[in-house]
Amino acid sequence: MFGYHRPRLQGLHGKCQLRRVLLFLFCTVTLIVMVRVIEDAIPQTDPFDDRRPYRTQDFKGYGEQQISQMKIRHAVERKQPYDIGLFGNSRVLSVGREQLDVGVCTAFNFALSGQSFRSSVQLLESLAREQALPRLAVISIDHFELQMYANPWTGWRQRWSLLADDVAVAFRHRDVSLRDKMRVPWRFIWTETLLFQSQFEAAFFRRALLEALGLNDDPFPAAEPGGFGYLPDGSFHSPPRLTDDPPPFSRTTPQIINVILRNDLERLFRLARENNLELLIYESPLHPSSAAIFERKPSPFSESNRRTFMEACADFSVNCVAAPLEAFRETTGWNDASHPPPSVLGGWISAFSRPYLGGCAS
Amino acid sequence: MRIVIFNEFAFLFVFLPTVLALFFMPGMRRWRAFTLIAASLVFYGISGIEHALILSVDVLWVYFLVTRPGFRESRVLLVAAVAPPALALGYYKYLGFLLGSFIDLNDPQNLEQFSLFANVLLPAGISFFTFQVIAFAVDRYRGDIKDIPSLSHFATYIMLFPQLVAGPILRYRDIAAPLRRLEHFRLDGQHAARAVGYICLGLAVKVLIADTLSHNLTDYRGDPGHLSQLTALYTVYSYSFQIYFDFYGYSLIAIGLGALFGFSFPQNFKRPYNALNPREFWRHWHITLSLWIRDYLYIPLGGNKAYIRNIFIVMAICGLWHGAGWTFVVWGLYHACLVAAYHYGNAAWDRLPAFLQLALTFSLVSLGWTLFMFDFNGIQNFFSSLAGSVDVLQPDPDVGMWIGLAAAAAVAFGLHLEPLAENRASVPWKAATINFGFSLLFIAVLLFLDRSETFIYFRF
Repeated sequence: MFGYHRPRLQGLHGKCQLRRVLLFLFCTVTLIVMVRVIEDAIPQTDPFDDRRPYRTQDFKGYGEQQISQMKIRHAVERKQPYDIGLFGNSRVLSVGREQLDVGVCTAFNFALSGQSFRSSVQLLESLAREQALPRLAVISIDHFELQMYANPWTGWRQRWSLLADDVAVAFRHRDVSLRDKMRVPWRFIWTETLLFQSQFEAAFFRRALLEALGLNDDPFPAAEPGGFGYLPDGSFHSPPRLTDDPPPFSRTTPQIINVILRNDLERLFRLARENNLELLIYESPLHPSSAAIFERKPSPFSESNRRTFMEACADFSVNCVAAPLEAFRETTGWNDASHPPPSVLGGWISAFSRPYLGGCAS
Repeated sequence: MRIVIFNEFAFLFVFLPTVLALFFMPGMRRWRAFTLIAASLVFYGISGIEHALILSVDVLWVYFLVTRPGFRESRVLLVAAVAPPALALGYYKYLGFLLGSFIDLNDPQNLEQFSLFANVLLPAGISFFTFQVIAFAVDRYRGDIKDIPSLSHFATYIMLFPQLVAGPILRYRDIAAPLRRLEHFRLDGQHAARAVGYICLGLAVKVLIADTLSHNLTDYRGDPGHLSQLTALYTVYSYSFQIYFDFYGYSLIAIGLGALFGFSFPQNFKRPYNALNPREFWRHWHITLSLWIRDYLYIPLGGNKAYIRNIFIVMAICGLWHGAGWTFVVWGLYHACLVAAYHYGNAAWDRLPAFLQLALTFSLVSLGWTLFMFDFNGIQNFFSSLAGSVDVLQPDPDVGMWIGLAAAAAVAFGLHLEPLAENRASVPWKAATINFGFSLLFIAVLLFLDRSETFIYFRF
């Protein structure tokens, strides 16, 4: 019943064998680069064109890198700057033209899902380079109890430049602990690994390949009724959640390094000053049940971050608001403990920004 | 339970490059065994520190006893050496099953009373490393191992991460020589080319074939009592190819990873679905397990002197080795019946045309795998579907699914992957084409990794 033959390694020409390994490595690296290049290309169609019907569009197969490029290109090609630009992540991404009450002023949602305040700063820098900044930038910075401060996903040059900047800042300040110093390169490596991994999502590649081969007639079809998708105003529409009482947000571990937060804020403030950009920054609200927990007993690190944030704003005379609580006492309509109802947030942003808008020419 | 698996980014792009860098780092030659042990403990420990602890205790205990003077003359010491690992295997894998066979563990009162034994988290691959430590102790007792390795070499042999959780089940003699040369091993083109071939082909059959079939079977497995006869047949053959390519893929990757560190692991499969009878199937399927059972169970039981009795015993144990459940025992006994039937009827069987022998063997083996798919209730429903006596609610497979099955069949029956994986084509254009092909396969695998699943044999 049993029997078995074992293969043996036999002596071969090592150099010849090595050549085929090098060929494999060369082909693999080339193919990986090709996948990257194909995926990074964005379609010629501008999904945010003002003339497109105001309906939810399916963005299946596009990552945040491509969407940020599309939003930047849209702002550049539009020529006329927007009166208001919203920046942040999913916590503000659902706020669109319908939720904002800003009269004749034009508005566009530049927010990118899954990103942190750092990405907003980088996106504003990109827009400044292209001279496509809005007149007023309303920026959502994540509630400091969330401790979300991931590195940006967009632009490899910017990411490397940010690493150099972060390392310089972290090592210049003596009060930064060794753990935090190590966290800077680790965070970079972690982000790069995730980005590398994300480029191999089959849906992304399939979409990119169809486009490269010219087989994708409509890259942004209308989403199914009630489905997910982007609107031409840059906002993201998602079906409302059924629960009105999301579970409270639980405490997290400290992630934000104060000197880096301060550095990012200063970069942003300098950019605003150089480009005559009006800035409004608010700390995103939490659901009342979660907010109550942290109001009673805030984490020391979040308090420290908030202090840094408010001090930097005061030093540069920028309008900043820490966790606006009063407007968000309503418990219904939240997507989860940190994603407020778009209509309430839109109304609050409108009221918050109106005094700074002045007259809208558009 | 989180298990590090070969078919994930973290393993391919973080863990493996880090281990290779440390292993080949100048100045680390003397520490290579320790590097592999540490890497293996990290690899295994991610599924639970407790599991890494069990593995370490097994290693230390067996090594401590087999190095005692007089071990080779003392049956007591042999029993003392193998009993704790075997008991650990019994506790983690079989106690819950045995309790569940006699006590209703769905009753909350019983569950609370026997909570220490029920719902115990099974350490991945415990059956594999337990068999290896037992094999080492028995071989030493029998005098087959003359020179006792150092503790670090022994630990490396048992813990070696490429084969730790799903084999091949190694004997010490398989890797004794490479272990002794570990400090002097240089990764030359020959080993590297072989590693590339085995890893790429292993990943490809796992991710592109096994996982595709698994994806296609999800709905059918969840609703076995509402399939058409055609769909039921599709399920039988698809699962048969899935389980083969899943485990075969793992074994190929393990061989490739072993080559990177200078080891030449034995082949675990030899085109088993091309077997012409059930006995031949077991010579070509999970070869290292078959050999283990032969050497440490079948022969001690008397071997061919009581062929049928022993076949039934070892096959029942083989079934139980695969999983703690009566379906696995039945699966083992089913195979015993096939082997016994062939034993008595080989004169007639061998007169059949070769194609028919192959088709019959493959179909009978495939039918047996249904015991891996369902519990007894599911089996009953599934066979009702197969008999055509149910209301059909599930749609029949579409063209793409049939194409997937046909592709799997073409690879299983038509392609001999090992010569390709050896990567030794001497004609330059052939070598270039093959390695470009490996590269394409690797990229295709990366593009489908996000839907890839863990290996089926990790459960065992």
